Amino acid sequence: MDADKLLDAIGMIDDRHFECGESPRAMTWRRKLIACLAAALILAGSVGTAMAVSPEFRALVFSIFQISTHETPPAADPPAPSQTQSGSPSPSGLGQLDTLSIDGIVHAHYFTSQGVVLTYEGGFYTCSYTQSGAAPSDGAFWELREEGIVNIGAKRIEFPLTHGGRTHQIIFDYAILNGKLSIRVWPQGLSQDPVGNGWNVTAIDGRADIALLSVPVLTDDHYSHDYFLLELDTLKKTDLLAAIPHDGLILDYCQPTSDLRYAFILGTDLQNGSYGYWLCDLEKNTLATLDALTGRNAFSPYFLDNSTLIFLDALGGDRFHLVSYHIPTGAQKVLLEDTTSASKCGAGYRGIQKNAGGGKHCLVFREDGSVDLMDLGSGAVLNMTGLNTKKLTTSESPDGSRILIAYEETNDRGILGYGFSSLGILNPDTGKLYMLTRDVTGNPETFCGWLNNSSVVITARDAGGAYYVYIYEFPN
Amino acid sequence: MEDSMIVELYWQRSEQAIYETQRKYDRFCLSIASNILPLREDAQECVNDTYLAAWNAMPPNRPSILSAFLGKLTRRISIDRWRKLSADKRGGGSVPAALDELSECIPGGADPAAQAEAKELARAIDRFLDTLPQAQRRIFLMRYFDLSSLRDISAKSSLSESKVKSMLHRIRGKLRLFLQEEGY
Repeated sequence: MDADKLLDAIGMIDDRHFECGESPRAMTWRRKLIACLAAALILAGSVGTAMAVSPEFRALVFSIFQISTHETPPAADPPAPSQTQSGSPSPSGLGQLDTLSIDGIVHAHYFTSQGVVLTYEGGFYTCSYTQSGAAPSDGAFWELREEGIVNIGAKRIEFPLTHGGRTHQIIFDYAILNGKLSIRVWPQGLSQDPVGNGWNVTAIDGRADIALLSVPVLTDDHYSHDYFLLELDTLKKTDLLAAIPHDGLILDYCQPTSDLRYAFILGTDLQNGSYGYWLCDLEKNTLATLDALTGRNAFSPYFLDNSTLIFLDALGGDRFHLVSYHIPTGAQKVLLEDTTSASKCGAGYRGIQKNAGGGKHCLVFREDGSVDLMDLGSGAVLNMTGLNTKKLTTSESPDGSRILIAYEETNDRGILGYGFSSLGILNPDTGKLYMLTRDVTGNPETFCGWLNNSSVVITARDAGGAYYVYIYEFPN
Repeated sequence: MEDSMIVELYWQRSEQAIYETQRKYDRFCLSIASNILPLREDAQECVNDTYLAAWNAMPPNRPSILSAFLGKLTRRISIDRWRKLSADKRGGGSVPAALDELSECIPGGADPAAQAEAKELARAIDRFLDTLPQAQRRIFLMRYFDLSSLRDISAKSSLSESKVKSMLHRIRGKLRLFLQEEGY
């Protein structure tokens, strides 16, 4: 035993040694949040007053339209939560509003499964989860169709894979949802080692025929990964980086483009200990650090499309540039210059965590308190002044054409998560925002986001703990 | 947002889970990472990797104490990063000092590398921590889990640095004896 091993073992101690419940820091943060909400209310009042008296100020604010809906009551079987939603006028009172009436459509659906997972591809996955992580036999994907939310089943792939001296049992379910490959892995390889030393199968953006299989390899006390393209019909495996000279690199992460022309990898060079990102040209079989290619201190990259990389350029301290890099030409564009961590984009700009942000747009919280919506492709900016955006949930539709803005309500203790009182659909090209108000039920509503390009889903639980969803359709 | 709701968001594969985690626990995770890594960029990257690891781990995990779950992830990722950086002599922070101090507790003997044995060692430390008074346990965890500096522990615990130092010395002595009795 050595001190390193002891240090690692201390990191694996049981949770009971930690003070139960939420951290004091969280409580402090909650108080600050409540104070911010109060300040925001005062600010909103001031903005409203200013808009009422100043046509010039009104002109700065993009158009807001009202949507009044006739919502279909939830189905009686299975029983739906009681609700009295209506298309009442927005209380915002922002200037002279144009009112647009449409017939909104709302679906409600109860799930009987204990675990309901909203998939990134615009559907649901249900199964009977087990603490052991064993593969469930009842995994199923659900898709929204004209007749409602439909169980479309799941295809199960299961095979043993011996690689790097170890044998892994690869098990996953998949389905095509809205034309995209959706995957659920069993047992979740990463669950046994949350830092990422397990095997995993992930979808590649834009590809429904192949998946990316990552397999851990232990060499010289270091975990690395090998990456394979897995053809779903034939289970044929192709080593993605076979022709790329990467000896001496420990690989932690890999993301290819959908046309498989490029991939970036995150890893460590064993020769000099440097840790960072490399860009692979899978056609020319070349490899170069992103720093060398761009002349910057690059981190958190992701592919905007098959030829454009978005990344952050660390300037030191909290400051960074947000940069777009066109790979074929080497052209770079600084989208945000010398900004700080206080100016993060959207729901957290985090590059490699594509699921956690990083679409075609981002929200930029300026140091002066204003908020802009930025098109990451063109760099065009839409000023969002007039919306208290920091207090909202925002997300981009899968095709990037519309932005959802949802106002969230608190419970009597000031805790967010107790219902989305209004939904806004923003067209970033025209700057027009359509608002729909809802009467919240008081049940916890944990998520509001896009199900597909024309539908928004709200997930909730009733007092008995049963899961249900509302789906609002907003046709283009 | 309450922790149970944030966990629910992870289960629903909601991007909002990352945002809510960041909003509530960014400082907490960053403080752990910063104790281990001297460069702010490295620490921030590890915190971002923590969110990715949490995203990958839930489901099927459903942690009962989210802060402990995130703290463990951040600590492990940051130490891994520190080890990678230290290969290039770019490391620093409080890890070397903590390692030196912990080496006092090692009775010597075998060098079990298997992960199963590491887990057994963790269970032994669990049992050891159960024997400590709460105040000593908190000091131990601040030093060797959070990897906080003596100065920070002093500030957080309202004890003088010399008092913290002597408490840690006595706890390490107890741990050494405990591990010897457990056969390590």
